[in-house]
Amino acid sequence: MEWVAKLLPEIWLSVNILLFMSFLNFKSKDDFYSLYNLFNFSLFILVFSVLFQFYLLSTNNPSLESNLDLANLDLSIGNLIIYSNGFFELISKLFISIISVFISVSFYLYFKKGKEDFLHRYFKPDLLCVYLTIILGSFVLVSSNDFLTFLIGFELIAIPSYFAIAMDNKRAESLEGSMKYFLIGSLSTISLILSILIFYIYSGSLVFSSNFGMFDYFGVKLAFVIFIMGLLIKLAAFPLSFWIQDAYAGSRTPYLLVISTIPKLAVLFAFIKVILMVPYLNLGTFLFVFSLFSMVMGTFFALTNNDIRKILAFSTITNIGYILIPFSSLQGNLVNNSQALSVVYFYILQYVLATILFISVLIYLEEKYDTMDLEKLKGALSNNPLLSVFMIVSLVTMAGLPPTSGFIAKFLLFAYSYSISPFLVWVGIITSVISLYFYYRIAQELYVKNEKSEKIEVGFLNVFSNSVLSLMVVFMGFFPNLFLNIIYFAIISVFVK
Amino acid sequence: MWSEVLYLVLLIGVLILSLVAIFNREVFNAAVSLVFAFILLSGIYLLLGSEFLAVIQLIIYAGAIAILILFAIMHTPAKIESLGQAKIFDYKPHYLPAFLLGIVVFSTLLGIGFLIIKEIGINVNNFKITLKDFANALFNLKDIGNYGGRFVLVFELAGILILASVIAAITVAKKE
Amino acid sequence: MKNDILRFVNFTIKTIVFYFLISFALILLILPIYYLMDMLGVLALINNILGVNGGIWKNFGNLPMVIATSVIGIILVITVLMVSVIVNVWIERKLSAKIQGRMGPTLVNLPFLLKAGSKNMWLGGLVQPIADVIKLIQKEIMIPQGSYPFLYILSPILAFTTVVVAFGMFPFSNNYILLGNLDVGLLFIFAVSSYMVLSLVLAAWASNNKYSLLGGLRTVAQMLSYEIPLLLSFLAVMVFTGSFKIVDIVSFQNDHFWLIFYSPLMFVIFLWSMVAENNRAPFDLPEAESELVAGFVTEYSSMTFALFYLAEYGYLFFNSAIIATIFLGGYSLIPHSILNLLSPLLQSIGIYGYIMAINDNFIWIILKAFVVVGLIMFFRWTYPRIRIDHLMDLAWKAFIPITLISMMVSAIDVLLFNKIPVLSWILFAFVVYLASKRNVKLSTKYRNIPKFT
Repeated sequence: MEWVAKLLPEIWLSVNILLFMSFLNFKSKDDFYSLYNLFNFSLFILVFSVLFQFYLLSTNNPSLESNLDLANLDLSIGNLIIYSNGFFELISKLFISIISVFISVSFYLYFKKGKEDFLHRYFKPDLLCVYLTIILGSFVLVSSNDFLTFLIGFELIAIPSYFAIAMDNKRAESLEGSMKYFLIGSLSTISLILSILIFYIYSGSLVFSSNFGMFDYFGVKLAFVIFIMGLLIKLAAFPLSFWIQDAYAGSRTPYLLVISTIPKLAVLFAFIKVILMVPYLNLGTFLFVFSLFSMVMGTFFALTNNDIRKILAFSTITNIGYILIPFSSLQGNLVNNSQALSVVYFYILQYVLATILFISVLIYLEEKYDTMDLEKLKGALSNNPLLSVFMIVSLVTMAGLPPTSGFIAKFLLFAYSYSISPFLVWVGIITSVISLYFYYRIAQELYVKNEKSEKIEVGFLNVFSNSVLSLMVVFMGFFPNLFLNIIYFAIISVFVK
Repeated sequence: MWSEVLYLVLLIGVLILSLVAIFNREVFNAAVSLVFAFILLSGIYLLLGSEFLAVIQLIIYAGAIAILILFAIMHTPAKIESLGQAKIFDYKPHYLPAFLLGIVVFSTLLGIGFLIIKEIGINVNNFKITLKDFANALFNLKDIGNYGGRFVLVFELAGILILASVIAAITVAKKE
Repeated sequence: MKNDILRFVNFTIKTIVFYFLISFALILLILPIYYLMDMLGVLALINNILGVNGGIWKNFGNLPMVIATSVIGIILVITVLMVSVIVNVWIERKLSAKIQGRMGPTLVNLPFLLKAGSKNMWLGGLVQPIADVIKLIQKEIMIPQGSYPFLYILSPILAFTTVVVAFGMFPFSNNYILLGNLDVGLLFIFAVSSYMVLSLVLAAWASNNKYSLLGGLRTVAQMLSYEIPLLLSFLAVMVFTGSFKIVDIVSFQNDHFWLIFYSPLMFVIFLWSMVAENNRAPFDLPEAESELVAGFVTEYSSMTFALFYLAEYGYLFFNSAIIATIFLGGYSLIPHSILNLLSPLLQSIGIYGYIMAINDNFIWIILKAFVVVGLIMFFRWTYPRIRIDHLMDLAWKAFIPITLISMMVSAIDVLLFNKIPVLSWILFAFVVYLASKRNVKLSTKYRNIPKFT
């Protein structure tokens, strides 16, 4: 009972993986519409289960059962915490689960009722299972308190991602992208395992806290660097990012939506958590290189590409570069670090929201025109005011222009790290000015007048969810403090523990 | 003393067989040497006192995975005459950076090994992990010394990981 | 009709009786070697160095002693292997002849027992296998052009080595398990015996012959598929004993009852999976004569062929001994629980002491192994060969789901019913009911068969 309460979202997700696997195999193809409704419903339940855990965390009297200690949601055996569920973890899970609902709603057009050719030419309903696994993996990754759980969470995200890219198995680019991602992703797994090995040799334990107390040894520092490099491969910081353009260009848009949002979010949350556990270790010069190269190279690669997915990939690299600026300028000051990291948290959150908005428009474009080439998509949106608004909002957010949250997040990011590494901040400002070009170019190409442009029918659910996302992005731009305070509190709570 | 000698023999055997697996141009022979490398590796596990791991290594890696590799190779249309003709190392200019990078990575690994020996020394505990310890660590929820219930969660999650991988692999592989 | 049934029953009983008489007689060939070794103290020596107290890898301190005892152990093992193979081959030829209404080998006879050329149905041709081996040794080893010579020679050696290593773990009795009483015991035996497939694959590839290659492909598909239900059904039974150790398994069966009565369904599946692992009819697709000449051994001649032959029959005998250990009480004749129940009766007659004295002995495991060998031989000569897709269907669609369910069922039995196999028997009855109700329609169309062209 105690375990069920403490692992409620994870158990719910596992049950759903089994459930949807059996549904997809045994139900007739006509019932997929109701299956999709069930899927959305179960994601709602997921959000409520995380909220229920918040409730359990807030109640201080253990009233459900006499021996139940639910004020502390950490799962422990003896004195050993094997799964931590503090405020930071729960708030991260809440964000992930809410975002997962938005992503799921974006698949609405593949499940329209009464659609005759249900078996879509590239969308496979099995994606739902893969998607649930990725959510589960991100939960495990965020909550992990030892290296083995961390590794399993990492793999729960990675392996379904490899398969998700290759789901459209008739397309050579998809298989190629999947294969490249798999090879480089396994390198990241190798580096994680290698670092875990060295940690274990030194400390004889797999728990984070007992390993991160041993930085007097040079070998442990080296192991930590290797560990961070494994994470950076997944985050696609520049010299380690060569999978991302092929993986993105290879995947069809619904799969791109899955692999480009939640994995990034979860890995970055875990990254922040790990960094928070070693506040006094200076990785500045190490992350400086990654940050600089990511910003510069990401921007310059993005200028020359025509494929929208590739532009998105390089934009991701650039933004990872911005995110790494505060990491490379961390110093011993606890308060300053926490503030910088909460800004990072806020930045990735709003960036992922903008990405979802962007790709959910791309899904309609790919459904209609079956291409992502900017040359062939000229004027594709000129007759679709609604989609245009969503597209513009997302592009403005990603570029970091004033009315939206993108501006305020980038501004705070640069402001917090200017005093320590002004060089990186200047590079960041210059590259964000340059990057305006390719964001603008997408908009410009899509609105050039074109006679052939047709009206695209957008489902009600999509309109609703995209409107909510747009409003949220703008709202976050006007009232960032609402979010920043919560995030700051969550990050402080990691220290308190 | 003799167990150290045996350990060295096994280690050198694994090294040689792995190198053969890398550099042999006939892919079937490479796979076969891989199988024997796996078998010798299980011998090392046995010397280190983990019988269960050795047996699992024998059954899963050498007994199933490597055999599946052989099975896959047997489906390929390879003629004997066309194999074995290519040179072992056919130099091309763009191999140089890869070669240098390989040297860097290898020397890093070697350096880590020496670093560990320098900092904490060689510390071989002569302990034996029994099957019961494995079972306790994986299934027993009670707090029993070092092994009780520590990996229950990881074990279950690994099960879900494998299940999801199987589903996804079938989805990718199946025809419409 | 009635007459036919009577004739059939008469014939079957006669054949079984015939088989067991021969088995009993031929066990006598093995026993003297062991008694001699026991009397000379060699077995005790081997056990002290290699045996139950620790295992070989703990005793590297005195390497010369380890080597010496290893050599003796290997000689012992190979002796047992050879004798059991010779006996098995002869029995199989006689039994098949009996089933098919022939005489079998009669010409090569034991001197002093029968005249040469005497056409005796019962003991004629007793030396035939030895004569075969001598003939095979004399021939030249042919290495076909275009083959891979190294792998071609390696594979029969590997097959024979596998069987020898497996025989090192032969579950003779409490004291006489040569390679040590490992913690993982039977699991190690399965690990070793799964290497049979490696040697067969190497043979198939190295021959560079299309029939061999086809045989090899079938071997891999079949043996890898059937390894899963084999291990799963084994695990489903091991839930009751709670240990992989041979000694623990046998002592559990002594304390309670034979495991075949705990989970009859698992016995059936385990037995059939063993038959399939051993590539014997009705699952002998890899070497189906009518389709593939001789499968992976097509190109092999003389001693290389003989090694495969030895390996096959040795493996058969060894697997039968494993089945006997797991399901039929191992090296004890009657479970101690039954003996305790009957002890007043037996003591009143006055034979209780005698029975207790001979109850735990390695004769019984050999005898039980011969029983299982006989069963498998009956399968071979009375069932038709099944088709390759049916074979795979049987493993993946029937055996694996049933064994998975059975694992859960056994666990429930242990947890809720205090190790009384209530649900296991219910599952057995249910499966038998399903099998009887199901209108078995084997598909006539070939499907899911990859085309090897």
